[in-house]
Amino acid sequence: MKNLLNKEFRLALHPTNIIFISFALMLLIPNFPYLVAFFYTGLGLFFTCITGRENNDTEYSVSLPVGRKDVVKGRIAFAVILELATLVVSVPFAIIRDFIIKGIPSNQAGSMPGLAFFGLAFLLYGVFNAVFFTCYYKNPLKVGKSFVLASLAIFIVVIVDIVLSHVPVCSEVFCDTGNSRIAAKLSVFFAGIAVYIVLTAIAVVRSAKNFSKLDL
Amino acid sequence: MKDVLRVSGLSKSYPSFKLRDVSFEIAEGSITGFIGRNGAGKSTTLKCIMNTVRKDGGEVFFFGKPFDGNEREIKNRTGFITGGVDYYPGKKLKTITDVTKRFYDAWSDEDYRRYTSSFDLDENKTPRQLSQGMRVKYSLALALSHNADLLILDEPTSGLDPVSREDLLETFLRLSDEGKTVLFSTHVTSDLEKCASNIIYIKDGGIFAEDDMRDFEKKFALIETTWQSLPDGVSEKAIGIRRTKNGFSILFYANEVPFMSENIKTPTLEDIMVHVEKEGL
Repeated sequence: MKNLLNKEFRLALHPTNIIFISFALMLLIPNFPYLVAFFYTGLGLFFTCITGRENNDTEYSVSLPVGRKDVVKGRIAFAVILELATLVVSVPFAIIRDFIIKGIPSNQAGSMPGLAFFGLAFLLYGVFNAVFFTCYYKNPLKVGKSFVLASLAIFIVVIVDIVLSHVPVCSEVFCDTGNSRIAAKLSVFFAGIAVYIVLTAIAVVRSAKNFSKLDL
Repeated sequence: MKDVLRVSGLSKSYPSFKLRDVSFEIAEGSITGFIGRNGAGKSTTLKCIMNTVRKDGGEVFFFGKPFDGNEREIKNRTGFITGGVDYYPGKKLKTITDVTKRFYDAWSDEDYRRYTSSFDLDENKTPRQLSQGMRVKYSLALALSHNADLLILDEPTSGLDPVSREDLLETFLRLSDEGKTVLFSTHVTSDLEKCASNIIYIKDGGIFAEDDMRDFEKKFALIETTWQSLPDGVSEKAIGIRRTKNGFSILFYANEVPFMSENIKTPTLEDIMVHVEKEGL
């Protein structure tokens, strides 16, 4: 796995993957559907896969002394690292927004960057991984189709976020970054992590199954 | 001599093409040419062997072990080269090498330096900056530096100028002397005349012949005539008859030539291939 990750970062990585991590800055924009900031991680992975197609990455990877399942695991582990890096980088901006820039009013376009919000961010990444990679490994040449489907799935999560922020009971959980209803917030946060783990594991299993049937 | 590769009953179906019951064996230290016209199934066979295309049926054994379950070990001992490095054309060779070598248990930096030096490879260049011949040599340098015992090459001489082609074929001979086994596909029969000891001839998705090259050629007889018309009984016995500038070129099985002639000669592989492919068997 270490060697495959080395290959991903030194050969496959598209520069936008690093640039898009800095899009965590979007958490400082007033009145914004903040989950959109995490959409760009998916866009960067799409760029990596599309340049991989032009660079014959799949053919190169399967020529190495590793199994096809390992190739899939390497790519999804690479995605997980980028996703977690984006989340980690976004935390300071959420704190800055919450504690330092007091003048920014509450969000009217979705949840506020708090515990429940990060639970939804995990959910968004899990949905992306499950849809994008499962579809991508059916046919890596049709990476555009995989990205369109994954983007549609992501935007459903964003719409759900916007709706929840306007439902009175839910808005107390999703639009308040203080300590009120902390149990509900923690529940959403940990549920998001759990769903992320399950969906990413499903992505690995189904992608490996699809990739194993593929003629290159 | 033991077999390093054994293929048995390999099959693969596409809507417009079928690989049918392909079976052959490759002996250790041999240079085997895998020939057939374009679209005969050479690349499909090699890709099925290396698992880049999924076979529908059959078995493949490397070094006496099935591919399934031994993929990592087999890939460590095998170099599969498809026409020269064509991945990451914008990355420097030294970066590709540094990433690639970590996957191999028996990688030798010393061997790598020796091969890059003997092949005149500049590690600061990218694959895009290399000629087709140099790309093949870079692929070979990678395969040989991880101490591959078996080299499988798909059309390695395709697109090479005559000097580079000669150079590469000489490299195969040198590798054979070192005990390496080479299996390479080509549709250029003169490549085989220069270095191959055995041939596997694939035709319409099935194995037409698997033999020592000289023995295979001796099974046939070629007659170049200046006849303007064919005598009775010739066309029934002939494998193939082609009109030439001065008369006819006729291919027979060596033991079925229906008349004596001082023009009977052993055909070259190209003569056999042209007759067999054009007139059919």
